[in-house]
Amino acid sequence: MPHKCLKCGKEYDEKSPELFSGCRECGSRKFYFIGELSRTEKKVSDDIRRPVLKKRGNYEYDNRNPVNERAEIIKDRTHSPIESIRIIEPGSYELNIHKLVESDDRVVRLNDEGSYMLDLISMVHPKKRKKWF
Amino acid sequence: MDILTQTKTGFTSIIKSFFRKKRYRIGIYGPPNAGKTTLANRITLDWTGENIGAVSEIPHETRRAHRQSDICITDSRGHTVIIDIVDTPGVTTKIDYKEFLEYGITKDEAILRAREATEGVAEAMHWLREDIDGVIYMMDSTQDPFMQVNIMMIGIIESRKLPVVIVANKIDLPDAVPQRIRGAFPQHPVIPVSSIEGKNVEDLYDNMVRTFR
Repeated sequence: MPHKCLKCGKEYDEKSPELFSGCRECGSRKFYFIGELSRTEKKVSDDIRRPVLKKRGNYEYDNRNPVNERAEIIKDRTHSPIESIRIIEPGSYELNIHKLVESDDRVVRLNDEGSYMLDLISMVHPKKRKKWF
Repeated sequence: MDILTQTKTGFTSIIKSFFRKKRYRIGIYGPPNAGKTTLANRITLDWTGENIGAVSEIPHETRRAHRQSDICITDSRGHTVIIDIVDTPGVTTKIDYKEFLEYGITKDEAILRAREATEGVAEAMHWLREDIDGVIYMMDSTQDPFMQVNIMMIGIIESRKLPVVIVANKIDLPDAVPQRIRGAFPQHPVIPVSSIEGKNVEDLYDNMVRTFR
């Protein structure tokens, strides 16, 4: 499974030593996981864009083209690990472990339709850890 | 050790004992099928005579965190620590109901299992943030320790400055290589055990008392 550097976006495979030593390009040690679906989507987005570029004969990006817009939206989604739980289909989920630990949001239940139930009270009054030493 | 150092150490331990917490909440974390519930059952059976949860070969059998309170563990030197053991669902970055179908359960059951497991992981991660004082991190010593979820979880535990004992489980299996885990995480105590056979658990109890006390 691939990982992507949070700073420069360079991709590394699961067993790459750079995941421990830091990114080759920028030295950052923060990586996020990109699922197989994200990879497929990115490939699809590239495939969508390529014929448009060839047809136009230049490499300028046309924002008004709905195909390109879709490609850009998909690309954006693969680059931003915003969600803590991503529902691919009912019964298939991708979890962002870092986000689940660090986020104030608390997921209590998932519905079939992909909506979330959140414990609002726990978000408003987070329990403080007691420090003894 | 000279007399001055001995006096200083003794005095420090007396002062610390006044401020020491009465009870520690220890979470057992790790990937699915590492043997978390088997170890939790072993600990609770050894010290309280009760089981904490059901064990199964199907991944994500534990989908809600289970807690057993007031377990008093004594090490070989007679030191004790009182802990609450929290057995958590297996941590993973992807849960897909299709994985469960090969174990002979229906599609509806598999989807429900996947949803409950996802909720369970979210809950366990939230516990790690607020309610856990120390971690027993379970790994299967027949598997590659450089799994993404292991690296991620150890990083999170370190960043939250929680004391951790890594357990290299399933040493009873012929292809177990606990040394790989020790080599991967040399900064933490790694204890090879077989939870199912109870092999080397005394060493684990000694390390738990030393680390969590």
